[in-house]
Amino acid sequence: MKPAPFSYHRLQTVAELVGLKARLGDAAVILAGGQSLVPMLTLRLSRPEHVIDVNDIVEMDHILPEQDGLRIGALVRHQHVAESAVVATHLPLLRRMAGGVGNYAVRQRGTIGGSLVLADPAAHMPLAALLFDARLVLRSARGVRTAAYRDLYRSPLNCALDAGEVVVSVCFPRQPEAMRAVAEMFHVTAGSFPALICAVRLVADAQGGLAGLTIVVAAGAVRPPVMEGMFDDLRGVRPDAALRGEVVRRVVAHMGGLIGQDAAGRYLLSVLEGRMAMCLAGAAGDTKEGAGA
Amino acid sequence: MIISLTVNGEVRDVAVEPHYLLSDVLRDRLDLTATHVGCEQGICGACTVLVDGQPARACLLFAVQMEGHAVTTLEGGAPSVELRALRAAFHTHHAQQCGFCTPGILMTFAAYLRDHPDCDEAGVRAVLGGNLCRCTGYGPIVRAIMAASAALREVADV
Repeated sequence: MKPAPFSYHRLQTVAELVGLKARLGDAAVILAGGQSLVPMLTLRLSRPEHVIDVNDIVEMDHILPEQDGLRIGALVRHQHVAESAVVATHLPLLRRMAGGVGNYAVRQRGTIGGSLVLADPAAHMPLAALLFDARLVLRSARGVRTAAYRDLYRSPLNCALDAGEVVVSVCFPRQPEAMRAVAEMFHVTAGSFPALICAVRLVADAQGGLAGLTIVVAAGAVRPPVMEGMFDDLRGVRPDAALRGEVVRRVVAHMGGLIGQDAAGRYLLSVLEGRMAMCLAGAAGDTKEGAGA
Repeated sequence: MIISLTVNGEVRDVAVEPHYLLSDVLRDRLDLTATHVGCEQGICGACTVLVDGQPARACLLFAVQMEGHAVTTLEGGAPSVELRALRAAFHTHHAQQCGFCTPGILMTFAAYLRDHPDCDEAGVRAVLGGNLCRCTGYGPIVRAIMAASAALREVADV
């Protein structure tokens, strides 16, 4: 199949983009990297009247370390994140996640903003944004606002932007010194979406006990849950093998409730159990057991 | 609408509709049929061309987007040193069977070897994951790419 006809708009500035989006509303879709949108147009799952090409909007293409974190423009390509020395310094896990998206050619075009707005439940960048509690900077004719991606990401393929809003950049908050983040990705075939990603963000206190633990798992086509509060009772405890076993048990139980216990679900949970243990060992600095960051 | 496309260093004016895919315009309007079209969903990699020197799926781009950008196909007038090394190595190592996937692989690795002169086999295999060979002849393809990479390093050392 081929895409249905549409009117094409190629813009140079965010101001133009906000104006045109306000005028055209839902009749227009925004074309960034196009690595997911164009197949949807080709299969005619989407038949917009207008396509707004944002690839020339250079003011959305930057990676900037700032006082309170790392700002990444919505148009930054995955390969740029994957090869960025700035990202490697501030958030090495984000760099690794970007390098896992699709394949080499797809990463040259696909953008972080596009990926976050699409909110595919199996995708790498949404999971990273959930793990690190990233904020999206949104612009519309009404002005600028900042919103937590965790709040915007309601359900699979549903990133709840307000009418006329566009994503301008993504801010990853500055991380404490004692933070370690590790992820494991489980691909059935190279280049496809992973069947499972689990990611751990662990912050240690001065005595080496748990000061904070965040776990996000993408599996089974559900909105990846952010598991955080369910570990509050473990604060201060050293992340030794016994504690890690307890965390794995809670995570597997929680995911089991979300993705079901049919044959496919049970298989994913068995993979999750092993990968989760590796992640936690890596985040706790126990490299004998873990694959490390 | 009429757009100006820079393909293989030549500016070509061509009449298109905005929804025409770059892969179709290259093949059907410009007669550049080395760019193969397989899945037309960005999966198979057969249509990979270079856009401003970096690999991209021609089936996931609209031709109209390419005004102001440089598109390179396998027909490219002056092949890069990487492409010449790859061609020679594919010949030596019998790295093609039916040849359908070959153009996409050559374009992908012409860019990859240029940007990663010290690549290892694991890296090559990871990148090759983006190009499907339905003959499943991956072994000779990997050997040819590694041989091309080694040959390029030898040239660079002289």
